Amino acid sequence: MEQIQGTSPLDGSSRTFQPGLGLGLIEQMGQNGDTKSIWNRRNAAEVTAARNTYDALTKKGYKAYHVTGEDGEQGEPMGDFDPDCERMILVPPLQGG
Amino acid sequence: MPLDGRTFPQSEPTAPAGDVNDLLSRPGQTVSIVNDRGESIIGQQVTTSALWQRWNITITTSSTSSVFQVRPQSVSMDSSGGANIVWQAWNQDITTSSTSTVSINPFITTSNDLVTFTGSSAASTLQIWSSWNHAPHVWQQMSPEDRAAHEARERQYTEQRAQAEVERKEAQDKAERLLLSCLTAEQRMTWRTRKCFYVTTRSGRRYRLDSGSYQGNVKFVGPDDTVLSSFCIHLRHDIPICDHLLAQKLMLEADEPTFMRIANETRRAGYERVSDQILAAA
Repeated sequence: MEQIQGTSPLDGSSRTFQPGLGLGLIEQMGQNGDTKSIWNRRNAAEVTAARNTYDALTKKGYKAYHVTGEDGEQGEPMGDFDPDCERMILVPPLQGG
Repeated sequence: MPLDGRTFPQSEPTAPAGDVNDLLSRPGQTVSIVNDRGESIIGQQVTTSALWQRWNITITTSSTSSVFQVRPQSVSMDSSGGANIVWQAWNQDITTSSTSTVSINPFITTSNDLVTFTGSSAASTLQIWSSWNHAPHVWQQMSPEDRAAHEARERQYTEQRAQAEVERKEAQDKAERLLLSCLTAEQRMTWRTRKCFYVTTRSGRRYRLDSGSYQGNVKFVGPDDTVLSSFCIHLRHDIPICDHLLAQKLMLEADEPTFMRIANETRRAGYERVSDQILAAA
């Protein structure tokens, strides 16, 4: 996976995500494409900020999927926030057309 | 409206709506008709009801035609000549099937300063006006100051539309990168060549996710790619299409029954509803 640019959920500072470096990534779909939040999974304050982001979105009906990005492996639906999960995509509610 | 459902700022008349009768009774006023891009004359929009009133008083019809054109420039005139001139100019080019109905289809195109109404279905007076309202309007000429202000706003709208288009393209590119990061090599290849990809769910069913439309873009396909059912399920329309596709893929793979509960299915004639089968087995 290529390097991914995003921001910290704690203070909005710029971050770069790479798998396997102890970072977490939330990709939240939206009007302008996805918004990427990147945090240090060993930093309690950042984990809390990421959890807050996750909880706020899932309360709005977003569906969370754990994805690995390894050649299209199927995403796994998530319940509660998992601080050990490296990459998750948050999808706004789907509706019938 | 663009595919992703965004809306863009539209130019609006700046002066309050007036009455066509008042407008035409004032000597020295120039009245013209502009196309739907507002390209010929800038001015005050006349109320719809007044337009239709005047139209109904003046129009006479002679024959049937399914295609006719109005030349906006030809009705530009000095209003001291009387309101009839507008309608006479209009009537030079329009032919209708009877005094009460005309062959106007709401579908309208504009090009080369011509407003073309096409179609053969007879339309009621109400529909005529509805069609008219989607294309040309009658305007009163503005003062130089008002015109300059209007043109400044037009430039601003144009810049805003251009900026919105840039942002829309960036959002689409971003969504496509996210989608591609979640596809297999084979899915990516299909996407690059055909702008679609296939998903095989845990039940073994195969779906094709097309990118051409938000409506019914998820197809349940047979071994020969024959579409057996279509499913309509989507995010908000202001979200880029590639995000829709990824959301559909994730839910199909993770929870096919929930996908079926949400989606509206259109099945091919002679085939059972796939959603019924899946939900019965769930």
